[in-house]
Amino acid sequence: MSNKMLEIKNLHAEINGKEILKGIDLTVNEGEVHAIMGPNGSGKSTLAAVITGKPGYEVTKGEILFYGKNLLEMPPEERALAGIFLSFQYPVEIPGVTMMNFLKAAVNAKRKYEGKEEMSAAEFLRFIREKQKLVEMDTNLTNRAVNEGFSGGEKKKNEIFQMAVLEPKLAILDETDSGLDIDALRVVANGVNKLRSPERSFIVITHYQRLLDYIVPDIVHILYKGKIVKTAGKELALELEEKGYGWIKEQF
Amino acid sequence: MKKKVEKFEKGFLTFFNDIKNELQQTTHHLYDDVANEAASAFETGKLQLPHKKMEDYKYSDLKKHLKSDFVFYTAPEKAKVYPKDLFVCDVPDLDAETVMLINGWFHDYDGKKLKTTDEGIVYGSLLYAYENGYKEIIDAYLNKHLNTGSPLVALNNMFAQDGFFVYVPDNVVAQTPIQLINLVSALEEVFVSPHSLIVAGKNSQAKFLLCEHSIFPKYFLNNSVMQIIALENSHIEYVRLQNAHNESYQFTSTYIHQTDNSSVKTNTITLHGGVVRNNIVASIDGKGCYNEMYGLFLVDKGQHVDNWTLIDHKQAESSSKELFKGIIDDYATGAFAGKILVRKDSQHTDAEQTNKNILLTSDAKMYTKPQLEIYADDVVCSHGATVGQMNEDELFYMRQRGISQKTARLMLLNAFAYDVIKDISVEPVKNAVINLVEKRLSGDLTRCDKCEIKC
Amino acid sequence: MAKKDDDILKKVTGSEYEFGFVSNIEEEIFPPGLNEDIIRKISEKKNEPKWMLDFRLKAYRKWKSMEMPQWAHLRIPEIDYQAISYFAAPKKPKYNSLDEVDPEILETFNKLGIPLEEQLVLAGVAVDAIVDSTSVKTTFKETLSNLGIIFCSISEAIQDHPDLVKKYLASVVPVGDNYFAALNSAVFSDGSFVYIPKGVRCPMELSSYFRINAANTGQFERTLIIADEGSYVSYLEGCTAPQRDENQLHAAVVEIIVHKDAEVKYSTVQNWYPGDKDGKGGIFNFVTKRGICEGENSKLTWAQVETGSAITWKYPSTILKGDNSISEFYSVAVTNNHQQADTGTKMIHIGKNTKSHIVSKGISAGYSENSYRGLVKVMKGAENARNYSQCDSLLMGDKCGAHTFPYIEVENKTAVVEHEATTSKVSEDQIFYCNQRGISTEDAVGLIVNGYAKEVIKQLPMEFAVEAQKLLQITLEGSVG
Repeated sequence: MSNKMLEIKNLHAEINGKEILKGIDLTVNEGEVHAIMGPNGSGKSTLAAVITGKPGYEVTKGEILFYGKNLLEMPPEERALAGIFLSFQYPVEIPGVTMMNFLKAAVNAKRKYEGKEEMSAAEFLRFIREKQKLVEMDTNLTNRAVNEGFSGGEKKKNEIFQMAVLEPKLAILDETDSGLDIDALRVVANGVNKLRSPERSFIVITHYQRLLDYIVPDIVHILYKGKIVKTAGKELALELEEKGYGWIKEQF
Repeated sequence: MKKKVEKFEKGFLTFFNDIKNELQQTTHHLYDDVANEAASAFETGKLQLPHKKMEDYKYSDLKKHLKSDFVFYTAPEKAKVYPKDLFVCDVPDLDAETVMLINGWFHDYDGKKLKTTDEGIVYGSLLYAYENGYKEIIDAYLNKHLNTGSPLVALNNMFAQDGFFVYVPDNVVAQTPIQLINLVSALEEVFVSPHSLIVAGKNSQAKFLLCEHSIFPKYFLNNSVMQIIALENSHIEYVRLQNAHNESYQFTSTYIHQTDNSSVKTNTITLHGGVVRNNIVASIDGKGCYNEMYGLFLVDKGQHVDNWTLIDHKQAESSSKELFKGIIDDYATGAFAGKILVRKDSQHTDAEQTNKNILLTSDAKMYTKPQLEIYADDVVCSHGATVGQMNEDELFYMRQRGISQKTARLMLLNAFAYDVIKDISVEPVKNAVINLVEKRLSGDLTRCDKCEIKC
Repeated sequence: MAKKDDDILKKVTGSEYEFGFVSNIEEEIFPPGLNEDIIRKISEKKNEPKWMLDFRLKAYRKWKSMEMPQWAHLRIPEIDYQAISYFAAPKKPKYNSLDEVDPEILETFNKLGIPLEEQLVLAGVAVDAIVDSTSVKTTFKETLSNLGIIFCSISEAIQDHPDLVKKYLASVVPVGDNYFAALNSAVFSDGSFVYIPKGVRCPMELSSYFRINAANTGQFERTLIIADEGSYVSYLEGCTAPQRDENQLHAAVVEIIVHKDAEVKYSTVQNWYPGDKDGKGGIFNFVTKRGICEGENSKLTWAQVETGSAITWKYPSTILKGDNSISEFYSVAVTNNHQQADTGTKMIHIGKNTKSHIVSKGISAGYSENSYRGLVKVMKGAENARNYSQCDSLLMGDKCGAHTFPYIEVENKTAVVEHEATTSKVSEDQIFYCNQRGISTEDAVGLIVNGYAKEVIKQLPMEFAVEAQKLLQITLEGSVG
């Protein structure tokens, strides 16, 4: 029996007074890959936002524990340092902040948190190059601002690359497949698969089954109207693909 | 000699009459006409000290700040300051030719009032140059191509002391920047009134750094005028670094005059300054010119920074690009007014103006007034202005990567400011400015951390 | 190209003002001049209660102490306020049916294309037509009154609904707000009054048509619109004036009060006589229009097409007082020949989560001067205020001017205010592209200008949009610079 990593209990959350999550229960153990599927507007991205602490969302009930620690009391950066990584559905462009400075700040924050020394410039460059190779990130990052002028595919690759750099315990992939052509999808999925390990868990949020051909989940949940309405093995994704979301909507 | 003007706002005219003879003698009667003219304009009410009922001073009630007494030096005093000792702080690695004004008068710390660089640039005291071979050039440009009807210019002319004079002869291409230091150093509350002139000859190139500093924590008024004349095909870069303490009043007027195919790039960086009003006017009187006007101000506490600019396209086929950014903290106030004027027949003008501001607290205020006044049809002109705060999505993205909120904010603010600084071509100046801005934003005292004067 | 442009420009500058006819109506006109006696006479003529006379006298005294504003980018010739007549009205002021209306007036309205008779029903427009100073005929009164809507002349409202008038008149534009507003408050002769009761959606567009007919008169109408909680109304005004060599003054005041959850849309097509091609004559249009979004979730939209007047000085403004209130301003201002326009808006954000949106399109041709002047002010308590302004100018010819003077004043850090402006001309590439497809240069300019102004024109009710498009075409046909 592997260790419990993330526990979400009866989570209710709202934005601008509108309740989006209406009682989510979810447990993720070390090494597991969970897929969360659901039609548009079912609350998938909200769940990711609430786990990572995005401002503007209010949790009205329930709790989220990460290795037993109450996540809801922590600011976003502490959650990140604790090991939670979000691959954004829409990575923001940050003009003027170079990728290198950004990565350096992130890596050093993590090292400080872990009680390690900052990396030397040479060490850091070597480290970054290595990770770039690992996830087939061929974009030249020096002198480029964060996500600025990146194509859709490059942005998503950049997210996976940052995941490789920050080596999280739990990675949440929010619609990482949206807007990707098949080649980019393969590169992104390969990157993810290389990072799979018995200690690392994933929550893959997706609308389509397509990504799950590449990143094979252990458990599939269906989120509908703010609740997890169905949980099963990877075959559920295939069933859903076949029957469509109408099938879910009819049932609930 | 130093003299005191009581209640400046009320007493400045009487004071002018008191010191007039003495001052005009020290300044070799260089400004007599303009000074008398300005004085009578104030006397008859044709001119007024700037107050907020005047459209151009709507957001800066300067008169209000001129109620106290000031001391004025009618002639230079022997000072004991050596520029290299003082100014390593701001731009540590700068290899530059340095000249200095102290309390409005030229300070010949090495006994030389006019020097020539290896490359051939003549620089030093305006008064001395006037008496020693440069009368013709000075007569041709001093108080020409500027608005003597501006109350700040008029006030400067009434009390004009010495100033910097730089002459870049035709075809001289200078690599080494010239550093101009306008220093206020007095144990009393002084006001200074330097009037400087830079003339760049045909096909010349030169770079300047003007640093404005104060040494003692006494309030002071610096009402300075800088004229920059860029003749045909000359290329000038000019960085002004304002880093005086918060008890000062900095009123500056910069008049740039450009003729055919010249380019002038200015950066006005305000780190500290109390009450600052910068008037910057570029008159583009030639074809094929390019003017780049950049500005950055970081204000906190009760400071007030107001940049008022005019880019006057008087001829066809020229371009200008203007970018001013402001970060306003605490209960400080920022203001920007920028007019692009495209005169009749200035066809094919390409002018772009941007003003962006970030308010950091709910007590901070920003007033902006971007303006286009266009009288030619075949032009491309645009302006954009924003007032807002830091982007929440960007902040969250960074925090999700484990970067602390404080660091993320700093990184974003630095990035915001960097836009204005990045095109400074003198690396040490650029790096120093980046460094200063970074420290300024992170709350470390930026005022001369290596400097011996702790103010 | 240049030669051809000149020809086209000449042709445009030669285009005649279509509405410049004079109607031969019997009118009663006061002698020129302004003093307290004249004001008493106006008030008496209109049989006004004492409070109204006091209001006027107070305004007059205020006005006497004021000076004409000089800050606009306008050259305004000296105006002799004593040479203007402050009251002119068709002699027979009241009508019980259309048959009683002077046929000349009806003919005037027909020429203007005003659907005063049967067309009214078809077009669904209720019209309050004002010739010079008096309201001639308010149509559809009955249909409206069944819903509790009051739509009448302000003179009638003063008689019949004094409480409403007393409560709201000068509540948005105080008597001494500005020089022209003070003058208007002293001498206004008529105008429209609208009251929409709680929860009522006015089923038709309400409309006023203003016309200055008599010579040497000024027109000073006063409009007051009150939208009570949860109501909706769309109001239109149109203006024309005959062609006369001397300048005429028009100084109107419009006040709009929008209560909680209510919405008002105010559209103007302003086509006062602009003067001839040498700049002789024309209306001086100095207008104060202001609305207040008094209650939560209220909304006020201004849409204006300004093609007429020798000089326009006009800034329809909104005070966003109620939380979550919204205001929009859409404007097309066209100037040609020697016209001058200084127009724009003010958006004053006071309430929380208030939003404003400004779209201004200026088009200048001939020797004209066209300025956008606007203020966006976010007060300290206006959390999360948002404003976006887009102000574009199009120049046609090298003798005109196009200017943009926005003021942005932000005193709250949660505000986001963005302003963008561009100046350009109709590109030769665009014209050529159209030419190549067989479209004449004149038609191409018409197409391009209408496309340029589309964002604003589409805000107008259908009947007005068509008229506005036509007006743009007439004013500018072929003006390629």
